[in-house]
Amino acid sequence: MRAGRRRGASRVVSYAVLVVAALFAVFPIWWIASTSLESPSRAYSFPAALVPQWTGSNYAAAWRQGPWGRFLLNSLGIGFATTGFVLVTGVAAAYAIVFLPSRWTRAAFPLVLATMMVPFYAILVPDYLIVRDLGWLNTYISQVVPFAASGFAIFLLVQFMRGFPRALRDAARMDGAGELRFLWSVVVPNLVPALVTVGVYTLLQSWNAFLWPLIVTTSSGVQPIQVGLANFLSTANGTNWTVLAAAAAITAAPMLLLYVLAQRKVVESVSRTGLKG
Amino acid sequence: MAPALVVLLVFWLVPLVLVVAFSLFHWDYGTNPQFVGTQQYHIVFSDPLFGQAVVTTVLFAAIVVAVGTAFSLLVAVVLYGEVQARGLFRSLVFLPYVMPMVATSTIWLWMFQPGSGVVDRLMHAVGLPGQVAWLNSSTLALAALCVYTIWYGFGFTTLLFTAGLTAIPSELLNAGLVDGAGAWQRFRYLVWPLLTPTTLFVVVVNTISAFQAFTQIYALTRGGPVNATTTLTYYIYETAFTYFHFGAASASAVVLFVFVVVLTATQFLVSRRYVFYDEATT
Repeated sequence: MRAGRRRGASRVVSYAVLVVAALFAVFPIWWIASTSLESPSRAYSFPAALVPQWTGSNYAAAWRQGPWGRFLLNSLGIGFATTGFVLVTGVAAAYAIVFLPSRWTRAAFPLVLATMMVPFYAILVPDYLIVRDLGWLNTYISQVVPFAASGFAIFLLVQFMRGFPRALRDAARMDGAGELRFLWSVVVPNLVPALVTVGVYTLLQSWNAFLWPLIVTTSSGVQPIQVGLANFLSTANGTNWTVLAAAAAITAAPMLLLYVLAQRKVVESVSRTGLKG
Repeated sequence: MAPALVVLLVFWLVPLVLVVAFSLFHWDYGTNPQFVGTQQYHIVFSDPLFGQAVVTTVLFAAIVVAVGTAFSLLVAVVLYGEVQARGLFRSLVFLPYVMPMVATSTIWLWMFQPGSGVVDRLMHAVGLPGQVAWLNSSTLALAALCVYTIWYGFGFTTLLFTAGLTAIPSELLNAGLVDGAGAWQRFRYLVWPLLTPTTLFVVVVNTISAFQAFTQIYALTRGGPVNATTTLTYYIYETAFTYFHFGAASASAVVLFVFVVVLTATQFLVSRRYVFYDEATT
């Protein structure tokens, strides 16, 4: 009896902790949505503003004041291009390391791993100068190419490929399949979970990229949406919170959509990439 | 192999060598670099703002890591227990981590507005002072940044802890239950020691990312008021791209790199020596 009551009490505490944590996490996101849907005057009347009003005018105003369509396209283009490159270069490199070992791959793999330890902020100045000397300032290329290969992606794909049974490779050889054929029809189909992990993670990273595009771009024609939002925030709109919230919601919407549609995959991807250290 | 290697060499490894080389030159953008050798480090170390930035970074990292780790461990342990809707709670606490930082910083900026912001409204509602200049006071601005950073990251670390917890064999916990150990005892003597590898990992990952915090600082405080929230990363950014002192910025970047390497090495060494490792968790 007493044990039962104690159990009940501990259950109440458990749910209290979870509800507090969930409210803390979700409230600011709810607040973006509800502020962006309020009329400017009502946004300041406190408990009332908690319930959104479905006013579309803030979105219309935000949309008029900045080239958001352009920014969205830029970010999507940069994101998908970077992800595509990371997957292709990652699979190729991991394949060479696992299935075609040579003196070169044995020398290269530690270098690949070493890049995982380099904080990007530490190499900002030389990277900026390299991109400038290549004539890439204010272009899409400068936002894609430096991230077109990832030490972490290669590391993860190598781990996956090492789990492949040798016999599969030998069987493919016997059947006369070349390296490319084996890679495309045997390795890649079995690699889908790893590819999704790397892909989702890269896309999220790319969408969130901020400091680098802030430095290497100056015109809205090539800037990603996060830089667009930061500039919008620092110009005259600084206190127009309903319009700012609408703009913030526009920049967050694609990731929210991705999360709602593929929530399980996203959580899995990021937790697996959490193994990065 | 070749394309990946070219990218990693040109944009990651060569720059690492270059940044060390640049750090030995007195070099303002647009002028000719002058070799000054290690004297550069004397100059940087004697810049009071650099010292302040290091202290701010360490303080910021310590608060974010201590509070964030404890909070997410608590949430993970509760999630691991017998609760309904585990998946729902997990995806809710993880949500901030997938939202773009500039967007969520914008909303926290609005929430932190003195008087009209929701943080002040809530404080007022429970009888606390209602007109707090969160982002305009030097101590509170750092506190606000810590709150934002913990908010952003705790779902992620909860997830890491959850993964660590699921690796603990349930027979062990059941054995504890049979022996009559209470919830706290089971946590203290079974879960906590078995979880040390994960905890250590979380602490190191969190510390490294706290050292590299930039976006939220740019969006919420721009390093201010009066440099109160200028961390090492923000200092590097300002030195390089506001004042264009490329040499000095490179020297500070080398310091940042050394910090990160030392942290990673510490994790590696400590984990070999003191941490309980089980095959399932390695």
